[in-house]
This record gives sequence, structure tokens and C-alpha cells, in this order.
Amino acid sequence: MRPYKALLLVKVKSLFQYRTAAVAGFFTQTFFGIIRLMILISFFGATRQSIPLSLAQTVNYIWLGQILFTILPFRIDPEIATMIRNGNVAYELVRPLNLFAYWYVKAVALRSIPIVLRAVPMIIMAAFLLPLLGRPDWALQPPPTLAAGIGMGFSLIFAILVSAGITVFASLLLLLFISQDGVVSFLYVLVWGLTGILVPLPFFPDVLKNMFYFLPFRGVMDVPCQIYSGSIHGTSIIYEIGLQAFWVVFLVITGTLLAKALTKRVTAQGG
Amino acid sequence: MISGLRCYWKYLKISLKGQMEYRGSFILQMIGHFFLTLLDFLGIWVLFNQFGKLKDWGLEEVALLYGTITIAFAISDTLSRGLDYCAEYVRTGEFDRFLIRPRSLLLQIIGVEFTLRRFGRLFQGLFVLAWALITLNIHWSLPKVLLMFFSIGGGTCLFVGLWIMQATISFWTVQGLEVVNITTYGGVETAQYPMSIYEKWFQNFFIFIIPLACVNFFPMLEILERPDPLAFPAWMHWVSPAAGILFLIASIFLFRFGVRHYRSTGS
Repeated sequence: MRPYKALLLVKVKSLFQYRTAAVAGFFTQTFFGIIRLMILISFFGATRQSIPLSLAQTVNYIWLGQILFTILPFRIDPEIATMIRNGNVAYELVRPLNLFAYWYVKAVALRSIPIVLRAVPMIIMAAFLLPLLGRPDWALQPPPTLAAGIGMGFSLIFAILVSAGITVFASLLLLLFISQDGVVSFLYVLVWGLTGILVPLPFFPDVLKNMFYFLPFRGVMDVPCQIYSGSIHGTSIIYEIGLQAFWVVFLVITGTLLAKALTKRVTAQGG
Repeated sequence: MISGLRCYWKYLKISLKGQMEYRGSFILQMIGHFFLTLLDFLGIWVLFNQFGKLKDWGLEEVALLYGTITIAFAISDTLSRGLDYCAEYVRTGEFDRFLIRPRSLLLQIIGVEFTLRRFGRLFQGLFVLAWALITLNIHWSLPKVLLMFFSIGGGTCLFVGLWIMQATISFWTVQGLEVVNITTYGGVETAQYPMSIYEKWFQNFFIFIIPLACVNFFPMLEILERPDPLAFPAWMHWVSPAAGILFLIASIFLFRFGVRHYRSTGS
């Protein structure tokens, strides 16, 4: 266990260095949050149909999504991507560590630490500054019930674990294919479309919504957002978190097997 | 200027040849880019499917706004990706090398890369625009066709101007300022929807400061023959794409001003 703990600490320390990126991220996420809100408020104003989320729930869903933006597994660890490209990944393979566990620990740090830097200013802005600026209707509201708040907390932990699992899985696929472009853009499309960051998943047609249950992607963002906004409530909270836990176990087991199989026959780039 | 353009053309050919060496990877990237950017439109479709209408706008009309601004963005993105590296050149001091060559600075920098894979977005924009034009039943006339091209041309100029300004900032900050992406990537997202759905201050920003509404929303109102919810006069809709060209000219002056303030990092 000791080497993994040390690795986690090193990664955490280095990630705290990226403060400028956090500032840029803050403005970008705030801007996109506000555009999405204006667009959805207009949609709500025009409709006579019954909508699966209320306007207040949608506002919370959107802000929480922008706050959690950095946990989305858009990219694999840039360090690992560079190593695979220049062949240094060979050093990773000869370490007396379990490759999956080693990369997974790094991925958990990569997905969780940036939120700490980003969430605090985002929450201050969305929950406290917007009402002061005269837009209480745009503001992030507290969860409707205590259960929703606690459920969101647990769900967030599993969301990070699912996201890290997807990240490592994609890294392993990158190791498998020589051409990286396919894996990278495919991952981007899946994450962009299926996590709820583009459009909240409850707005999708029912056929697609049912399909999302067979994929791990909604566990990364949609589940914590829906629990927080109250559209998943009661015992479904426990069921949904259980489903997230299932995806963590699934990704860890298949990932470990894939890593074992790959390390037997991998060809590292020379150079 | 003419020799500068010829030089740019040569850069372009070299860049294309380079990319064609990796044809498989290039095609994969282009297809990836097509689907990635198509997702934006699918997102809009999902919302219309759920809500029915956006104020009094239907999906086809929004698709027209979406298609034209996406095409303008894609052309500017393909042409001027080289500007992305400007901040890097300033930081490393490599920018000095451009300064000593007797050709237009801006064209040299823009010519560094001509990113063909970004054509994925162009095809996607054309695809959505074609669908919009087929379903919309527009009463076409020659002035309207010209206005359409004027709108796309003005939009391209506006985005190139924004990339140039982003590069110019690096003369002062010595590093890239990603926050500016709000006006480019955020701008495309904004202009995909009718300007009238946004708050007043937000509209004014995208009319008078970064004239996105002028190159897209106003001319498209004329093409659709819709009344202007913002109540600008009709002649203004016909000339407004010129704001994109003025914006480009202003950004070139700003760039020249920035170059005069450039101090090499010396490394």
C-alpha cells in the first residue's frame, strides 16, 4: 500500500500548482453556466409540455455540472499519454507495481484535486454572488432535503471513482492501439454526449435514457447532479449509488484483467 | 502584401503535404471532429424534442443560425490555427525569428499551420445548414443569396479577428490567456441561438463590443423574413456583417501596436 500512498501525495502536490488554469476554468465555467441558464430559462418560458425537471432543479443541475467539470474523464493523464507516445511507458511496466492500481491511484488524484481548487470560488459565485447581483433566480440553491445533500456527497465519491476507472481504461486502450487519435476523440465524444454536461440527461427521449443505464458515463456526473437537485429521491438514491458502485467494481476488474493481458504482449515505441 | 500572400500560399501547400503524409490518421481525426461538433447540434435537437419551441423559434430556424455561424467558425479555425502558437513563440523567444524575415508578420504566423482536420466541423456545419435550407422553404432572391455569403464572410473575419486579438495579448502577458476562449468557443455557442432569448446586457455585448449578432442573427432575420425582436432598422440587418470586417481590421491594427511593444524574452 505504501508506494501507492506516496504516489498519491506527489500527484496531489503537483496538481495544486495549476492555479492559473483554475482561474481560467472559473471564468469559462461561469460563462457557460450562465449561457446554458439563459437558454434553458427561455425554453421553459415557451413550453406547455410537462418537463421531467422543474426549472429550479435544472438550475441546480447546471451549476453542479459546471462545478464538477474537472472530474469528467475527457482526457487521459497527459503524463501517461506522453509516456505512451515517446516509449517511456516501458519504465512504468517494469516497476514492481500492479499497473492498473498504479495508474488508478494517479487518476483518482487527477480527477479529484482540481475540484477543490475550482469548487469553492464557483460555489461562492453561484450561490452567494448571483443573488447579490440581483439574480436570485439564477442562483445555486441548497439541496431540497438533508438526504439529497448527504446522498450527493456519497455519490460524488463514487463519481470520482467511476471517472478514474474510465480514465485508466482509456489509457490502456491507448497502449493497445498505435494510433492515438481514434481513442482520444472517441472518448471525448462519449463523455461530452453521455454524462449530462452537454444537456441534462433527464431531457433526453426515453429510448436513449434507458440506454444510458447500460453505460458507466452517467455515473460520472448525471447521478450526483440529479440527487442534489432532487429529481432522484427516496430509496432511488441508494439504488443509484449502488449502480455507481457496480460500475467502479466492473471497471476495476476488467481494467486489471486488460492491464495483465496487455503487459504480456505490449510493444513500446522505441526512441 | 502580394509577396506575403504568395508566401502564405506556399506555407499552406507545405502544411497540406505534411498532413497528407499521415492520411489514415488525418481521415480519422476529421471524422472524429465531425461527430464531436455534431453533438452540439444533437444537444439542441434534444432540447427542442423535449420543449417543443424556443419562444417563437423552431428547430429549423435555429439550425439556420447554427449552420452559418458554425461554417464561419470552422473556416476561421482552419485558416488561423497558427495564431495559437503565437504565445508559445513569444514565451520561448522564437518570435524574434519571424521579425527578421522580410514578409508580413501576421501572414507568417497564421501560415505556421493550416489544420485540415478542422474541416470536420465545416462539413458538419454544411450538413446542418443543408437540412435547414431544405426544410425551411425560404423565398430566395439574389440579394438574399449575397447576404448569406456576406454573413458567413463577415463571421469568418470576426473570428479571425478574435484569434488575432488573443495572440496579441501574449505580447503583454507572455503566456496564452485561455479566458479569451469565452469569446470564441463561447461566442459560437451563443450565436447558435436567437440573440433575443438572452438578457439585455448580454445582447449588447455581442452586438456592440464583439459584433457576433451583426454577422449572424441580423442577416438571418432578413433571410427568414422575421420581424426584429430587438427593433433595429432593416437597412442595418443588410449592412451589419460589415462589422465583422471592421473588427478584423481593428484587430490587425492592435496586433501591429502589440508588436511595437514586443520585448524579446531573450531565451
